[in-house]
Amino acid sequence: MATTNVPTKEASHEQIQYAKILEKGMFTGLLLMCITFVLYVFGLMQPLIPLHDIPTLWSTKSGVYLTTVENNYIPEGHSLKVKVQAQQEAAVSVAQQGHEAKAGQHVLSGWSWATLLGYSDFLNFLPVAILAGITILCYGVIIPGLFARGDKAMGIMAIVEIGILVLAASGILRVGGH
Amino acid sequence: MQMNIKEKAAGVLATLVCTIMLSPLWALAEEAVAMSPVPVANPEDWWKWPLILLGVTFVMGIIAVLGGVGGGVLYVPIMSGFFPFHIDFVRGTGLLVALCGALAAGPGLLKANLASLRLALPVALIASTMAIVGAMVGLAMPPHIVQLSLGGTILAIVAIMLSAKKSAIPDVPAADALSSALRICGVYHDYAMKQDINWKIHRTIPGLMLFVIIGFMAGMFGLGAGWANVPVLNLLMGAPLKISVATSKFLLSITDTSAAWIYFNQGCIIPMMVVPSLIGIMLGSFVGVRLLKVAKPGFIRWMVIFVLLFSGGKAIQKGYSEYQKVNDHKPAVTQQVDHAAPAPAAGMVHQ
Repeated sequence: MATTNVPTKEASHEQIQYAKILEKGMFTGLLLMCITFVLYVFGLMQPLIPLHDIPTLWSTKSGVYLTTVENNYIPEGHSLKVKVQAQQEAAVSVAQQGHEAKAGQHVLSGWSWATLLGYSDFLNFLPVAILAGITILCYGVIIPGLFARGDKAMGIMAIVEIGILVLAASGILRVGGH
Repeated sequence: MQMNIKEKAAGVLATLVCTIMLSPLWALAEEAVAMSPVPVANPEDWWKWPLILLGVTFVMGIIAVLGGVGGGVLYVPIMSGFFPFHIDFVRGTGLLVALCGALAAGPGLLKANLASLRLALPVALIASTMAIVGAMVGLAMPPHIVQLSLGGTILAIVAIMLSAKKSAIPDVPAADALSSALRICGVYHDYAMKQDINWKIHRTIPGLMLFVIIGFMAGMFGLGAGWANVPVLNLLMGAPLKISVATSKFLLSITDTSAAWIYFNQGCIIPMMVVPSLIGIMLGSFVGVRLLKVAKPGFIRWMVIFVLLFSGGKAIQKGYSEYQKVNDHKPAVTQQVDHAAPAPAAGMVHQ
């Protein structure tokens, strides 16, 4: 394993560290994905959206899909349903005053799926999040080594990359409708 | 002798499967299935869909390996053109397909020192940032514009596949200032040539500039971006072909991650689509690798080019017909959308 700044045939210490974590995250995510999908598709756990409704939903655009799920499937009393109702009441009140309601965000976006992990379909999002998130951890692990070797430029790039990936994962970045 | 017959039989089988699955007739038949009202008329038949997806993506995984392309570049145009899935979900799933392929290959390539972390770090920073921008722009655009642009992009990919040459070890007289400062260089052992290859890169700034466009397109269409990464790394920046291919594959695990989060956060992930697609394409890739030594890659590469041409044309045709629908029946479209989704309270507009 190479530890100096001179290139050798062997992968650098950071590269090996990165590879090991990526490998573990990949196997964990894929294994979990198979387990959660079996729970889902064989009806071993209750889904939020009935399986037979899915083929009618995936041909609509994502905004319509989210609206349908928010209005029709989230059970009464769930914190997300309360938010949906509050949003709708606010919109009605604005409309009654003769104004056009301000465009709102879907309640079921960002990390709100985490509140629905008790349903088998949303449980499947957990391995997807692991697969999509493992790179952030890989970067985090190699940063100390990069700085310890005086590789400041690469270290700073790794920190900025973490910031970008965390921003993407955070759900802060919202997309306008179409 | 017996082995020879077995190998030949496997080769014939692989070629036959690819020919049938890549045939436009098959594609049209799939389109007919997609257009039929089966899922709506028989909601109890939902279980057919994971099996169909598993089967189609399994074959796609074989073809992707044999044709030397990434899974995402086949998945997005075929699924959006010939199946009843909305392009939002197809792009989200396409990114995850490309991401999982990269995650599966990445650790081995890094350990073998074929994928270079030093080369990937600056490239990934630019490509992943732009992939986020691309994903946000793509999700905000009307679907018919996305379809039209996707068709154009697929046709451009075909042009790249037809015209791009490859250079096993490009001649790089001297590393440029930026790559020297970042110490982007390395050594790997080439088993075919039985020697250690020292490599360095040049034209780093123009190369990084191109990754602005590549990242944007990867995020916008959910295609992955191996088709563009490799020519830029190899032909422009001068990285050896093996380093370019391996680093490109690893790079997708970072670029596609950032864009995948945007689609994920916007609800463009449906497990019933994602999981069978991922499993199918990964199993297909394993089989594809085994068939690689007996199939005729040249022939399959031409078939891939042909099916991409067909899919690109189909995407343009679909985008154009959706555009006409939007223009001709604006009130009717609004009514349709309202009918498809129980409308929220009056006056409320979701983004």
